[in-house]
Amino acid sequence: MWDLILNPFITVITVLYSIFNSPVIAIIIFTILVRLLMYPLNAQQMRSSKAMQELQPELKKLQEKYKNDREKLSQEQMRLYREAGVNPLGGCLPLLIQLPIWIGLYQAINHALAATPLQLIDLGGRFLIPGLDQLVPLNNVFLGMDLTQPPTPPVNPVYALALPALVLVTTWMQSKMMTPTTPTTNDDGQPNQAAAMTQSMTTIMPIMMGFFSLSFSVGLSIYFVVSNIFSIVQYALQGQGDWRRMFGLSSKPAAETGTITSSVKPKKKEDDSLMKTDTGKKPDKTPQSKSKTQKAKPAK
Amino acid sequence: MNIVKVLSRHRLLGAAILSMFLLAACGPAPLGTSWAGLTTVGDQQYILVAFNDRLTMVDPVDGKTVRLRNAEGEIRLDDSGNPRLWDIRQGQNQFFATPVLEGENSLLVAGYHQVLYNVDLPTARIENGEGTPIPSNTGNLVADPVVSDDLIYVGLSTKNLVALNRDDYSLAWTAETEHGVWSKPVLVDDTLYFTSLDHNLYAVDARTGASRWTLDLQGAAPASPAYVDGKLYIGSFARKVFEVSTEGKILNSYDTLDWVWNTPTVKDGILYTADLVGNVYALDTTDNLREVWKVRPSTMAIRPSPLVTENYVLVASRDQKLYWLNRDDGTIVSDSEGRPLVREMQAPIFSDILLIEPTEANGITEPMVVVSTLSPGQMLVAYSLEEGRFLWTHSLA
Repeated sequence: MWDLILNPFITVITVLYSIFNSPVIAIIIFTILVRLLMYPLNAQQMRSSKAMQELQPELKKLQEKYKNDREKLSQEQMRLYREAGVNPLGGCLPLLIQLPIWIGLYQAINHALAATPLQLIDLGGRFLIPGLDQLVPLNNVFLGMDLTQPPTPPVNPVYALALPALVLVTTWMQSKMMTPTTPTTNDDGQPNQAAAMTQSMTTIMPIMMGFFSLSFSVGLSIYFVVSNIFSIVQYALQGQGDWRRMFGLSSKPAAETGTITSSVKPKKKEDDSLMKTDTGKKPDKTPQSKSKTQKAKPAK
Repeated sequence: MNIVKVLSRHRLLGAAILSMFLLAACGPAPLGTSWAGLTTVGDQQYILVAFNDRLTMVDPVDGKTVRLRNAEGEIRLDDSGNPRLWDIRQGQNQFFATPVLEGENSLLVAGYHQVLYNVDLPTARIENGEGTPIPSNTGNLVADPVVSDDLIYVGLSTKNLVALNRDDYSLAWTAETEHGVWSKPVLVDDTLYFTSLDHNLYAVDARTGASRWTLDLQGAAPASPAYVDGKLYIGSFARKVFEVSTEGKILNSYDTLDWVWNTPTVKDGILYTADLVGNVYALDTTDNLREVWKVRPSTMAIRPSPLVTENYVLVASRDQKLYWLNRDDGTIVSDSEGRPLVREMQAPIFSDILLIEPTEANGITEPMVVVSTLSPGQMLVAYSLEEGRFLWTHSLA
């Protein structure tokens, strides 16, 4: 079953290698091709994530309003999603579909480079086009670096250590662009646990990836760097990238500055019903006006 | 509904789990292990196993780890009164190559991470501590080394073969290749023959490393050539088996159905080999590699060299089975009850098969075959040659 993904990938990467006669160019082009193929799924995931992010103020209000009635809260949340046309799983499903492709991409590069006898023997019979097996094994040396080995000396030159650094930096940039900014404290002055966790993830993930890249093969590090750069460019082209925020130039997140411009606005009638209190009283202002005039509550 | 609620509430936790999943799936490229390197040492034909980070010596009589003895022949005991065993766990390195005898009581073992170890056979001790790094960094040590009077020849996994002076492991010369050398060189007189993944068969002056000739095998060649009666026989990923003169000319070739990754076995003028989709071939070396028979006992890779005895051709496959084939026509042998003589193990078999004949020194009563699987729990399994009767199994506890 897994071979259905892996074998075509290995075939394509080998064809690219035969065209460009460079394993690195083959890896780069192959990664870009696969990411382009996944672009619609990725774009849908990003749209869904953005919509969910924009609903956060409304969700926060619901959570406060129905904090003692979880069942009602759940119903109201679902109604909010429905009325806003947002599927809360919309961000997960494309991700789940992409997962095997990502892993297949990773495994294909790993197999094609074949660092050990067992990996090389496993490459047999995977080519879907006759004649490609005469290219095996792919030339695995690039700029003096052995692509099948980790970047650490003595197997690879010292400058190969630049690759884990690049993996770290590009993963960090990608994380920064992906992660929504949330205030570090709640309205009541208490630390915002979600924000803290998000910040931790943004910091820890790149470090972990950089650390793991010390034991990844150089070829796989190249794949991670290319893949990260592709994501960064994709976010930027879709207007999702906040370069000022990435480099710490924007001190206040959007939610705090009251500039929420949600593209997912519930209808007024439903808004009113949403803001009814348990006692049936209406709030003084509609959610829309409130979100524009008051300090928005942070997303949880 | 609840799932949605949980997902939306705990999406950060979900992201963390997802990240861990991704890291697990795309974790550091596992080096893994290779198949075990097997050889026999001494008159007793003790079986030496190199697997992962372990070196173990096994008694072919009962499949148990050999016990160390002192100069008087008494079994040595540890502080707890238990017998000391011939078992080395290196820990810091892995063994992809088969150890070779360097002297009567000394083993040379190539560690994957560019280190050579000297092991004292009687005491099972590594004599040079953490090992001696080789003076070259063009790859790791996958190939079995070869020892001559003055030099040690070591193939490197990324490219080149180096010759080291035996006395201090300093570099004597380097034979350059464009890709890795994963197989044991063959030393014939003063010529060293070796294959490379760069598709070539090389012949170099064993003393100086000067090239004598290079022959394109049209595909990667990860196995050693067989040298028989002044000719070389070698298979490659070009789906061919070649007969090559010692001057580097292709005399004959035979088209196989898939990649060949073993050293052909030649006996009584017939060459036996197998490919990586389970075909076994018998070719007549006295008649331009004419096909004598071709069979496909397995549908999976046959990596080990066929073991050829007087009556049988034994092949072991990735399908975890050991097959006894009739030497005359390649059909599967039937046992005394008329059943196919095929034995199944718990894991794929990639290591070469050992044949251990009875001698006065080893105390074995009948010829036995020993195979090694990829599973440490079934590192070695021994069967009688004639009936395929199970004798013992050895696990790396």
